[in-house]
Amino acid sequence: MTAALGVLSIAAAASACVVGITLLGLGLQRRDARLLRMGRRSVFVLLVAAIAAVGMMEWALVTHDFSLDYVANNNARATPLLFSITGLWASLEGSILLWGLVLAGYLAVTAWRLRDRATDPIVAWATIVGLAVALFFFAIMLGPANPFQVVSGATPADGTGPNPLLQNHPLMAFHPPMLYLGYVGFTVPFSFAIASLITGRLDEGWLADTRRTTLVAWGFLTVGIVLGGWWSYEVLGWGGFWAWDPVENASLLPWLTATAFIHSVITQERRGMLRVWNLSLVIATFCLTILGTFITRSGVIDSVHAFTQSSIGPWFLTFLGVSALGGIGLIAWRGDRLRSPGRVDAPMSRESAFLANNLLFASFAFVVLLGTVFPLLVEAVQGRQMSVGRPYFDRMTVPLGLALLFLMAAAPALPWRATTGEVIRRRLAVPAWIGAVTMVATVVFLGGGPGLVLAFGLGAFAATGIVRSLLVGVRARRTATGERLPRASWGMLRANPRLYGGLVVHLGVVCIAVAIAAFGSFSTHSELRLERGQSADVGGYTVTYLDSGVERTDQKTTVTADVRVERGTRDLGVYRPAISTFPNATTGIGTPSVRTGPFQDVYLTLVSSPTDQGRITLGVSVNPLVVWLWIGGGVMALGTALALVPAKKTNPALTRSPGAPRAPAAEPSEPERAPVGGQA
Amino acid sequence: MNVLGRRWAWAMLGMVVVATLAWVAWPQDGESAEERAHRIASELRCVECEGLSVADASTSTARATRDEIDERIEAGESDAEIRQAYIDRYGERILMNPTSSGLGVIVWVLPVVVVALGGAGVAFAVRRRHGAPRNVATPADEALVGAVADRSRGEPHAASRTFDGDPLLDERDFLLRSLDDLDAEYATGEVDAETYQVLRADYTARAASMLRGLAGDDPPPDSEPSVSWQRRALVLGVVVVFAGVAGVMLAFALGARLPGGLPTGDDLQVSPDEREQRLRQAVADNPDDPSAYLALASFLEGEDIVGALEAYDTAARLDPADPVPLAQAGWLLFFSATATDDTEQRTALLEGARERLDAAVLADADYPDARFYRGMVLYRGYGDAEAAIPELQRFLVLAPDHPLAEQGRDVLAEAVAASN
Amino acid sequence: MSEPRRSNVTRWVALGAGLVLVAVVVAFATQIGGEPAVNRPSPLLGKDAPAFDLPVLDASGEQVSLDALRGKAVIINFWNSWCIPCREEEPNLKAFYEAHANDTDVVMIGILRDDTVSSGRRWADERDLDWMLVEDPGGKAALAYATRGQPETYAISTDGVVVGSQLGPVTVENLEALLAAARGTA
Repeated sequence: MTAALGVLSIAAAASACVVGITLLGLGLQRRDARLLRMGRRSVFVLLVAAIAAVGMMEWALVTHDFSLDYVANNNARATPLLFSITGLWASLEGSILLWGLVLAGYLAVTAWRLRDRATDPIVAWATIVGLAVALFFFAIMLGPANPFQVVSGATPADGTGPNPLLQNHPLMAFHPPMLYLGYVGFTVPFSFAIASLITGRLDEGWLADTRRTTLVAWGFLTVGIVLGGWWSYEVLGWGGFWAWDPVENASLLPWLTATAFIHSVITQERRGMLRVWNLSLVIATFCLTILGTFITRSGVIDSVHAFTQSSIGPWFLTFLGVSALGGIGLIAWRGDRLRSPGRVDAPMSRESAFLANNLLFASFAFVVLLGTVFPLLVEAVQGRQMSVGRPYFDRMTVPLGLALLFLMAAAPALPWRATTGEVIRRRLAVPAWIGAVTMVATVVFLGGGPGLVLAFGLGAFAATGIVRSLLVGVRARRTATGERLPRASWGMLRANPRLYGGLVVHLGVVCIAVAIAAFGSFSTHSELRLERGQSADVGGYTVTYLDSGVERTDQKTTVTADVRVERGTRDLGVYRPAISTFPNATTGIGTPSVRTGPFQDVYLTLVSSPTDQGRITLGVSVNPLVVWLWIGGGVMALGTALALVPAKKTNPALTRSPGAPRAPAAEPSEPERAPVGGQA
Repeated sequence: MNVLGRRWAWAMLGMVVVATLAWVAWPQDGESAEERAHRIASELRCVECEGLSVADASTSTARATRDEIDERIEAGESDAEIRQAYIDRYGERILMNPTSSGLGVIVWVLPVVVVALGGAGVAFAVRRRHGAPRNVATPADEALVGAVADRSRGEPHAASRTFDGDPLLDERDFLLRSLDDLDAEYATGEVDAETYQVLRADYTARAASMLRGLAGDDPPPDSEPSVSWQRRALVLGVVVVFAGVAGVMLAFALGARLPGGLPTGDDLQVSPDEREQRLRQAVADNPDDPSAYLALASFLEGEDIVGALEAYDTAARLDPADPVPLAQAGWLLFFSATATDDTEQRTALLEGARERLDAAVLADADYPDARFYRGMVLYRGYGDAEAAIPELQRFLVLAPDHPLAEQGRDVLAEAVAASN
Repeated sequence: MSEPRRSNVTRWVALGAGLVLVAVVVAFATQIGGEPAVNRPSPLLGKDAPAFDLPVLDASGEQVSLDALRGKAVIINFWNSWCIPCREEEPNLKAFYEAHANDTDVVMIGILRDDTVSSGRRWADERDLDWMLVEDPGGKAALAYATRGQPETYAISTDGVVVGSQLGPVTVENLEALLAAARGTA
């Protein structure tokens, strides 16, 4: 019954897509406003159908309905409620269902926001493209990836339960949905980009229409990636947070092009430049999200995430090919119209900084993409197996990352069009000196290699610049309006939320960059053999092995060790690293126990369970500044939220009038202005 | 601070940064044995895990590998020797970094080339336009532009909604808009006076010529200064060459082996293991080439009969007209048959030998080795002297100076005696 | 005019990108449906079997050395007491052992992998595993044989070359095939 309803909902969703595409297509061809409006409504039908399908699946999961294949494979009677609910995205078919729901949601929100422009051809074409993507996903669910597949034969009494790795941390509840909210969101700007290419309206309108959606999607993707790193660190137990695993790379690639995109669009809005870049970046972002799904779900590349190997590979590959070639073809077709009227007036200007930014991000994405798919290509061409691992990625991406850090620090200080040394000196001298002093101090007090020194120096440079911008902006506003500090700050933000929200995001990036650099240079790892009651000193901490225990369930056997951690005389608590062995796995899976401190983490792993003599091997890592990775992620999320605050028209006292004398002492903050093109 | 003082300040800043970097980048004292072991371990993949290095993994095999690496370091092996030992055992995929010859180099070189090309493109685009002579606005230009701007001041430029996409109209409107924006930015102090004057003149002149062109007075101008394609090709070529060299140097520095090159730091003797590896590599590289299999098979004959047989059979399959692999395989099987005591096995091996030798003779009736082998199989294997005699005779006729001719004569004599 | 020139650049770049994309997609397409990692043959296939000299599991002090077994067909099975596939294949191993118990040219050895000796001993006693069982101190043999997990079974020919391997539980047919390869009668 549930299965039938579920399949029916999916079929209804797919039909809504077909109907919508047909109506909109006809409406465009005949220029019939009524058809266009009707076609638009199919988006809402799609949403309702998607909600129904997801509702059916969740019902089946929560009530442990094992007549469904998916529930039998990803759920068991013993599964707690939270993990039953999150079982929706535990494996392939459910993930696609979630993707469909999120896509329907984004399409519906966009359709509602642009309800007054239902007859605008760009909006109509964008809706067609959005519905076409949704049709792909729902059609897949009617075929190879049916989540409502019924078990053949007798209904099993109990399911096999979700993969154990997915069950031991509530974080699993958030990581995939965040990623999907990110990935899927980029379908909207993509659809508008395609629409603008098709209609030939290549000015800045489509950017304004999709600006907020892009930022929201980017924010979610950022949070999703940071959560993935946290999960890797806290749960997987190998001691790091980023392994350049193909699936991790698959989530990073669209983030890189999307970050370039959200910066580059500013240039197009202000100066009408970089149009081809922007179209290419958004099309690339969408294609990379499809590629990422393909890599993760087709089993083409070995990965710790490759839980299943399924038959949807060819479908995704075809869809990827069609989207990418379609995008490239459209850009080639419209090539003559894409020439920007604006040009770079000076090499030291914000325009050229954004151009360099695009180049660096694109190169970063290229390196990650090359390293990820290269083993595959080698195997296809030569039949040999070759692997590309962490050392390659670290080596290639660190210089690019440092260059980006420098640009992040320097570019906000560059004015548009052109600048003089005077302006740069005024804005950057103090931050630059602080950066240089930090570099020297790092060498003197901490040691470390050039990467670390540069990271710390550039981080200080950037952070000082950001703080300076914020302070100057607040002071200018207070001088002009006489408000108190909190109101002035909020007012400053409301006057230009994108700028100040962006600066907060950059602060978060600085936290993360500094934390990564410190972790890479200063984390220590030792393995200790301890008997019961024995202590050892590691990195200023004292660890004492107290006791061990064994816990057997039907699903796994877990060996735990109780370890007390002290620093000097301060008792930091008892921690419990563990090893679990699962029936069908050929090796044990470790669970770390982490003592998180503001400046250092103590990371405990149980390397081997008690031997016959009662000795354990305990892995102890002391990792600096790891908590700042997560804090940095939070700051980035906060900054994104600030950037989404609706802008408020400025206080009339601040509006410039042409010909008025410049106020010599006031530092110019970005004046509020309508984006170029007259669009709101 | 005056201009000179400011310049000195920037210079000092630059010097501090460079000095600090040079200090930390200066080659330090060598790493300890522990660090070395960790570094080597981080270059090897853990086979049971996905994506983790031996240094990071916590499986029993990974730990045993780390212990083994420690032992090897103590035994004095070099980094390359240790890596090679694991390549020998597991194959190339044990390495985290792609280092092998051929395609592996691409993954190191290509990013450098791409970044260099991109950087050159950007620099080219930015500089070329900057180097273009700035337009100077004549009073006539100012008047023309002023008239247009005045007329439509206060309304959003009608062209902001131009959807017909005419590039010339777009550019005209863009320039007019830019003039307004420039005025606004100057008013708020974002743009200083000198830059303002220069840009204003530039925009005004360009807008004026656009307007004239649209009105039909003058032909529309080339808005981008042209650069000869020869110059472009030259710059492109230089960039590609430079980037390629940089990439190759990077690959070398990181231990990649280039095609035909040797791993740095190894000595040059070709051990049997290495030879075997090369032969196997040749087979892997040329899976359709029977001669690669033949070479491998001859090498393996002494020690790995099963492998040699496989290789011979593959070569025979690839080139059925070639009697050599068939004959050699037949001989190997016969040889194995004589070595075994198990009658069942012996019969089977002899059968296999005879089959192949028959096929060899069919393929080429005048191949002397096949004749000799078949004679031996018939006589020594099956005890059929009568059938063996014509084979051995044919052999001696075909190749009287064959290395095996002496043996052939002896056996022939024996067979003749036995058949009488 | 400059417009056609700019559009030419864009078009050339687009053409190049399109070609690269097509090549990459084709390369991917050839790899779909490929063998999963677990079925890849052991890298030791065709090479000399690594020598070992390991103490017997029952603490009698005896040692088992591979060199001493030259001339015999050797089946090596890496196992332990806690992995479920090991338990799956146990009856097959027993049946195979009994079938060849009187064959003097066949030797079957079980090497304990990734387990404590006491657990292995206890298990072997409880389950009456009669063939030769040895422990692997330090995991050296498991490492030398490039094992990727357990159970993993190897066939070693009479002249000491690895001629067959299987990762995962073995059936009796698998074992017979491995034995035939080891004897050279494959």
